[in-house]
Amino acid sequence: MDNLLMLKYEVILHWIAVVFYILATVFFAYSVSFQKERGIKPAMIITLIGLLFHSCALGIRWWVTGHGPYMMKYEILSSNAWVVIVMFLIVAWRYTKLRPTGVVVVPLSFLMMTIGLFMNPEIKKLPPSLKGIWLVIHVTFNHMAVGALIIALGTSVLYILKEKKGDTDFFRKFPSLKVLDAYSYKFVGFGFIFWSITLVAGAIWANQAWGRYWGWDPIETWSLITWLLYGLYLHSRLFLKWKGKKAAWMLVLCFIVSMMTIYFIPFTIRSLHTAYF
Amino acid sequence: MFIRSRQKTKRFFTSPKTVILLIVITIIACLLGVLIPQVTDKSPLYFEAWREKSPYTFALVEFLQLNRVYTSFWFFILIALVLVTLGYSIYLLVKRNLRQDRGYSAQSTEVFRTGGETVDKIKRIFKKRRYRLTGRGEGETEGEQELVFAKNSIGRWGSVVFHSGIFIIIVSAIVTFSFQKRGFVQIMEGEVFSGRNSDFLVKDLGLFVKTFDAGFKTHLSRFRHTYWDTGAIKSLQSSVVVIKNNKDTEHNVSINSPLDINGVKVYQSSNYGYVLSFLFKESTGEEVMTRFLLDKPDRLGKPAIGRSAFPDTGYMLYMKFYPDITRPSFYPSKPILYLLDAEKGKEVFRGLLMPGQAVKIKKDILQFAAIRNWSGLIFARDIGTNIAYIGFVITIIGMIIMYFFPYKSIRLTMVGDSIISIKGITKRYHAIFGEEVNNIKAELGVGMDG
Repeated sequence: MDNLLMLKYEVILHWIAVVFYILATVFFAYSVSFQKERGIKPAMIITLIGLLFHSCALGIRWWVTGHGPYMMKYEILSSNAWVVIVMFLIVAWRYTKLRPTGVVVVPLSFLMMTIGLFMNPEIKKLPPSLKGIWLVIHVTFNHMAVGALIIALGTSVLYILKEKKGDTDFFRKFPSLKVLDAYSYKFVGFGFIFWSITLVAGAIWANQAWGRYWGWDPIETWSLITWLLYGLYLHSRLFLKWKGKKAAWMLVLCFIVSMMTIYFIPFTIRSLHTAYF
Repeated sequence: MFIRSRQKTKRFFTSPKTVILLIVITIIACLLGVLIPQVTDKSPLYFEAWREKSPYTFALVEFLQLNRVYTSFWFFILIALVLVTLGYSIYLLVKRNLRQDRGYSAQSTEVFRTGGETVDKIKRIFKKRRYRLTGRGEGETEGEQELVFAKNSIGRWGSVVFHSGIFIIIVSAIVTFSFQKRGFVQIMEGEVFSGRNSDFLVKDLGLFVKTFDAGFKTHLSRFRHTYWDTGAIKSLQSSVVVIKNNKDTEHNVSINSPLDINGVKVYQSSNYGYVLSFLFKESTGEEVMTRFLLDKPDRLGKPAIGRSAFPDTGYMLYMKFYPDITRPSFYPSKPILYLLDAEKGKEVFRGLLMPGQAVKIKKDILQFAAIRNWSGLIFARDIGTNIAYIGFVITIIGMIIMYFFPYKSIRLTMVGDSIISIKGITKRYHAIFGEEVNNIKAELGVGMDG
């Protein structure tokens, strides 16, 4: 089968996955908005089916391009959405009470995918500076950081919702406010580790490619700002006893900055990373 | 007086507010660095234009060194403060960790009957949850027995390890800033680079470094550049001969695969291009040989462009070099040069030249002698890099210990077969730990018939 036809199938599979994710979002939203528990299970199943199509699409892409899906906005957004969904399913399987976080995680993932699908899906070959294991580590951990932070955001949103409407049966089945808050903290902690590994892998890779591990490139600096912000969040919890609602809102701010760092700054500012996209 | 001020200083550096404040200031400093144009990113002309347009704003920016944030005096003070605070924090954390466990929060204070649970059975329940019995002894009052179970004991040291890693990374940055040696050179195929300080084209030396001698010569035998069918670069590789102590060794340097010669690393730069050689024969019979280095064209099908004065002749050459006249290519297989020669602003020649071809310009003869490749190589020696790598590893290990393996300890007080209290302590995720303690209580059967 020729590559062009394969890529056509790949785009179709991507769109099918988007449709499933949208459907799952509807079920999650129905469940949380109308406080009906029966919507959660179908939402999980539909997300899983969407993931299967998504995996096939990414697999085809990988096969055709000859490299992992980490070049160009299209591939990065799609693979990031995939990692987020996989992480969410693992968390939802391990901690069943956190399944309603899907109301935040799944729509954000399909949003990423859809934005990617509207971007140029052309195949770009890897420039020599991007060949190597450190790129794979850098991108993979960055995706995992986004996944952990989106799940943390999900638990924070559940916290805010439960605090407002906590006296209903549906919300009573959620973990307690304190536990939700602790989960937010836990996932931010994981995100912080993954973000740090992203920074470190990027530094080692930069040193191999350009002979310096830090150059105050705008993307590098924004990445450091994000890392410091999460550090501030973690220290505020520890020292200033910022918990609950205050911590949840701070997490929302941190999340916005991290998304800006990953998806806005590299596309708008000229830097060493520009060649990558 | 002195003791009081010393205590005050100590309190300042160990205060949580100071830590928070320093993180906030560092964030602001970084934001200034990305929002205000920096001297390292923009040309001097940009700053001249800025000075002319808004002299007062520019004067303020210059005074506060906001256009060179990361090398400004205040940024150094900030980094120094961060280092001192980190050092103090690490010291305090170590001191605290060396002490015995304190501050067990009561997860349960009621008297429970375990229904005849033996210590062995309790141990089994804890073992299943990967808790180890770390302490056993008499309780506070007579007849009481205490059992202490702990999990992830290493988790107590996570914060120390993490902060030590950050400390080392900052030290490495200071070492790099002070002692790094970096130099860029353009070497033509067949040419030998002496490795001497004066022969580098561009240098980036640390604060306390005056010169950079590589300590060996480098001969570029061949430079290979290959491309994908889209015109994007596929690979760049310089085949070099390193000449050290009259010994020649052959090596290949490519992007992401630097060469290490006794601590001096040689990196393949992404800068490269063509060298055009010209022979100028004056009417007097005197010959001048000159080379011009042109950068590789931005895109496939575009020419490599250059403009330069021809030394000792008064001529100015404007060059457009096409590597292949028959098709868009970066390989000089059928090259041609579009040349415009001017003297005192007046055109004296315009035309196409092939390699080997000569043209008469007034009474002189200019020959397009040869084409070769040039390769950009970066030579660097930085001991800070190794220190940074150690810091990276320690930081990541510290974080993993901190967040994946939080320290947990549970103290059971028993009288006979009855548990009279269960108290737990953890460093992180207290509410989740509370749930775990409740589950353990349920498993132990406490409270069931108490």
